[in-house]
Amino acid sequence: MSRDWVPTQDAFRQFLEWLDEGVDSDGQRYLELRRRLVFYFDRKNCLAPDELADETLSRVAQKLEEKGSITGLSPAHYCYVIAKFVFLEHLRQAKRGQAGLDELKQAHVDSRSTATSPGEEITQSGERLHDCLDSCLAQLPAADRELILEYYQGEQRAKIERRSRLAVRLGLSMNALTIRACRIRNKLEACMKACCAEK
Amino acid sequence: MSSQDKQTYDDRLLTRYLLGALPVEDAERLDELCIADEEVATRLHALEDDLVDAYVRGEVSGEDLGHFESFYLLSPKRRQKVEFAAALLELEKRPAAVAAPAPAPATQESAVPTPKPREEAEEELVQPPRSSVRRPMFRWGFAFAAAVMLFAAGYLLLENLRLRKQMSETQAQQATLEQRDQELQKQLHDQRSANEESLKEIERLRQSQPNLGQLKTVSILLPPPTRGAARPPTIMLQPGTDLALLILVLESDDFPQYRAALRDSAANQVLWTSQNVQSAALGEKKAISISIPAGVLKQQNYVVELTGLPAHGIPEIIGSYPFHTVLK
Repeated sequence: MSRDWVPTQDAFRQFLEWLDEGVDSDGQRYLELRRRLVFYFDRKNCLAPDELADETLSRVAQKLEEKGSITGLSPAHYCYVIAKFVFLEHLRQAKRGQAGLDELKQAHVDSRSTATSPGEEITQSGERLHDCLDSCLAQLPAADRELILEYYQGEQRAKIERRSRLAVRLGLSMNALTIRACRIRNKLEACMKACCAEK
Repeated sequence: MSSQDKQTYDDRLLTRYLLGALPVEDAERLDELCIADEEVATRLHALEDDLVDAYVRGEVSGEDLGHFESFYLLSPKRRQKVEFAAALLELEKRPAAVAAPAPAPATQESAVPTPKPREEAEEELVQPPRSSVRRPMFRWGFAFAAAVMLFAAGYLLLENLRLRKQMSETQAQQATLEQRDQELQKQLHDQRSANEESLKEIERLRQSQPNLGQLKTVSILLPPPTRGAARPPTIMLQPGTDLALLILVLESDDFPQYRAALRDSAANQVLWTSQNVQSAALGEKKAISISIPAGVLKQQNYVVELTGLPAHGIPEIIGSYPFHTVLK
């Protein structure tokens, strides 16, 4: 399988349709699956989880184009199988087992030792986050902004009770409310990441 | 995976997975489910957010705190989540923080930055600039230099406007071509989908037609979800009933298609999912009708979760219809 394979527009469209399993999600299924793959590689403590997730999706899309169809496994399950191979290859390439925990520990130590001074770094980073959060919250629709602030507010028991009341008020099940809150938080985190990178 | 297996993945187990505290075999099983299983992936996502929030609030302790700091905080991506949670907490505390700065909520200094109070930062920004001492002999020189710069700036501005105009014209032409291309692709796609749908519908009708007359059904009208605690409607199932026909009255008809999922209220599990259906008129309102195989229903409480499916975009859960089943 070629590593330099770049999907054509048709191949990519076919891939998105296959992921959608009959319900047009406008690319949302692709994004959700990519999020899960990034989570998978990040939990395995790989240094570049985004790249490994993209490599996985690229291989699946290539396979789909070559075979015309993939049957027997759901799209998500098939992606997991390929992700496992990508992870094992990553481990082999990274000098037989020195990848993962060791490289992350080293990276963590390096990043801390190169900071100007802990106090300065924290203050600058805090201000930036503060400003970015304000700006990103302002970009959300008002209903989403109110929902996320209310959903994640409070401590333990108070938080649970607040969420129950919120679900009743919005006419949603707890499950539906959780999914909606997670989606909004994802959006907000992505916006914060982009904003902090700019500043 | 059976529903019983799923139940064994409780929140505590998933939290230990997030903290890297599970044995390898259990963790590998969850590695698979966190990608391949919708419910586990969703639950895990929500639990991770709550775990990070709990950490910045100082609610994580003991063995979990140890795992959090030795495993979870290793990854830059996960540290970013912690920073985000800290910012969110700061926002919640902001009115109080003006009077008294909030204490640092966690023990690892690099993970949870304590933002500088905004007033302090703003004070720094509004310091007046130091005035420079201007000598009279330089005044005419400065004036000439300013005039030259003004002329140059004017020329550059005009040139910039001309180039911008050219660029926007080119972009507009390109956008028109791309739009045309997309319209043609969409027409082709719609036509193909319509053909496939028609074939499926014909096949479905062909298969279902001979049995319709023999089916024994019971029906119930479920009003739009109310915002208070009301007693759920009850459906009586006689022995030998084949189908329960549920008519879900819509508050508003905002989607071209809908999908319904039957959820066990107590176990919070999806037991049955409908095909994509369209609304139909019911007096002045619109309603969705779904037929649930009676064999799925037991004597207990259920909720039908209705999802609106837009032509393009994300499906949205629009309401929950609770009801109670009594077996006669």
